Amino acid sequence: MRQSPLSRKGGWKRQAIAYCMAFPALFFFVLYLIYPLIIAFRMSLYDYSGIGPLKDFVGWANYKEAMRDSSFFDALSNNFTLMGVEFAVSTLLAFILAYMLFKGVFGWRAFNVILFLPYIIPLSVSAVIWSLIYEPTIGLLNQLLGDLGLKGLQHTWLGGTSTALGSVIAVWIWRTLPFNLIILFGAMIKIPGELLEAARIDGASGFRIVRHIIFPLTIPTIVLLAVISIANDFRAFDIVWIMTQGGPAGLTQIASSFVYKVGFQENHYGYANAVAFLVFVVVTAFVALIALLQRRSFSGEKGGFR
Amino acid sequence: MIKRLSLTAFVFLFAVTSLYPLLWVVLQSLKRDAEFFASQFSLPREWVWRNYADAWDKANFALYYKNTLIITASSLIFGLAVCILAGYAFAKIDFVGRKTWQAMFVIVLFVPSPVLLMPVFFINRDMGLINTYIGMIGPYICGAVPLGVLLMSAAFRSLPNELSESARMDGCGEWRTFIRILFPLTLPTVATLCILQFISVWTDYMWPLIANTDPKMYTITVGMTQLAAKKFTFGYGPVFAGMVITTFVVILLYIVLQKYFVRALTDGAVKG
Repeated sequence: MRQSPLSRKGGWKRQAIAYCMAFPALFFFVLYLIYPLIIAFRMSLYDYSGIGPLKDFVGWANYKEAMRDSSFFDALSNNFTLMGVEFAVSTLLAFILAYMLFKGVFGWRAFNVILFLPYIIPLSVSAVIWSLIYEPTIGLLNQLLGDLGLKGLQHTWLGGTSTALGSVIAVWIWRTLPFNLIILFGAMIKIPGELLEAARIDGASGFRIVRHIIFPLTIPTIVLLAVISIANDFRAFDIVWIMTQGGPAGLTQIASSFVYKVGFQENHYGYANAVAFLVFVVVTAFVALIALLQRRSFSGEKGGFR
Repeated sequence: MIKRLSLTAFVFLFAVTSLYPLLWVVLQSLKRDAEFFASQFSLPREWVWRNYADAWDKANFALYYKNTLIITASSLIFGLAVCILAGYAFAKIDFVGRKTWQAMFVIVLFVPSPVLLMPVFFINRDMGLINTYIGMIGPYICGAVPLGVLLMSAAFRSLPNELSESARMDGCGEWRTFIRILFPLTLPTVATLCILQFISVWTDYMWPLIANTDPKMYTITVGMTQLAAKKFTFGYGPVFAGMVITTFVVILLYIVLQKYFVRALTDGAVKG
């Protein structure tokens, strides 16, 4: 006799137990994640100032407006600059540091604890610390430059048009480097010792070992770090909002701070939601692209080392 | 040997850039403003604990701390409870729609928070939850769910089936098997989730900034940035003291639970 799918799954009683146990989690998940996504999309089709019910339906007009809005594209481009520079510099430095820790450094345990600190402290605290360090007159950085006799290098770091974005990115690198370091260090430790030993016996120099063994074996980890960078860098709200609020003249505006400004400060909630959705699409497309590229480039050589 | 020393020196330089800004904050938090303006690199001439008292009383840090403690503790307890229960159901019972829910959990891990914050604010407003603890905590419980349920169900699934079967043979009901035998074995994962949830709630800035219109509901991160914006009224000392107050709990836990912290933060990297 054929079993009904339900009885194969343990009957009504087991189903009820399962749903009772999962219900609290699913309740919050639907109320604060799925339902808001639906509302956000609906709101993006309206002109809404935040008061009363949604009634001014405008169709895709908000999306069309975003496509013509140069400050939106500036924010996106700043966000991509932030992401690109952060990922490149932070991963490169993290790779070098991880390799040094891997090679053996005196007191590496203590270094591990200390180097991870910038990633532990609240992002909002980092933002305030660094805005005080960058402060033009009493800030640590300009004082230090003054004491070293490098007065020519002093700047109004966060206020100057040429230095603002770079200063913000530097803080973001300071923040993300420890994380990349710990992940890369973990990946290096997992490299089989025989492999390195064999290369050393064959007379390979340190640099060639890095280039031909360590680097290729950590590429999957680096790709993972790229995905995490994308996901995080589009949420880097705290740093930008606390340090510059997107200024001067929108030069450090990124996607999340732009959405916040348009929504909560200018009360264009419909438009802000349209922009947020576009950002969501861009991020998802970017992550999918990386996943696709990675699958293509690795499918050929899978199993090479394992 | 010399090579190892030079490597150490290089890493040491980086360690200084990691650590010095934090030490700098602690040093300035103990100085009078006049001394802070004059010399930032020296140790405080006398230790001005007043800055901490000012931050605590005049700048309302006592209140912000209470809010943060209530919100973090409730989000932690309820967030974990719902994840553990659901994790068990997802791992051990093949219920209708399980695969669909799981797929949804994975997809939403990449939703950037700005997409959600505005509608969540309006949902809370329509339910009359602005400026309430419940309105603050609900979204944090939800925030723990996708990754929490995925990790907990993976932990329950990794336990051998013979374990629950032999418990049942000994006359243990399903509930008792779950609480007494299986749950204790998932404690490492529970610890990871605890740390992740603690960090994400304690250090969050954007949601408490948006969720409340009443300054009495602020958490320490928002309170600290408000204080920093008012540095000309209160002086710099309390600002630095406020940053130390905001951070020291996190750093203390990190140093005590270092191994667990690193594992938790690397496991939960994709979450935001």
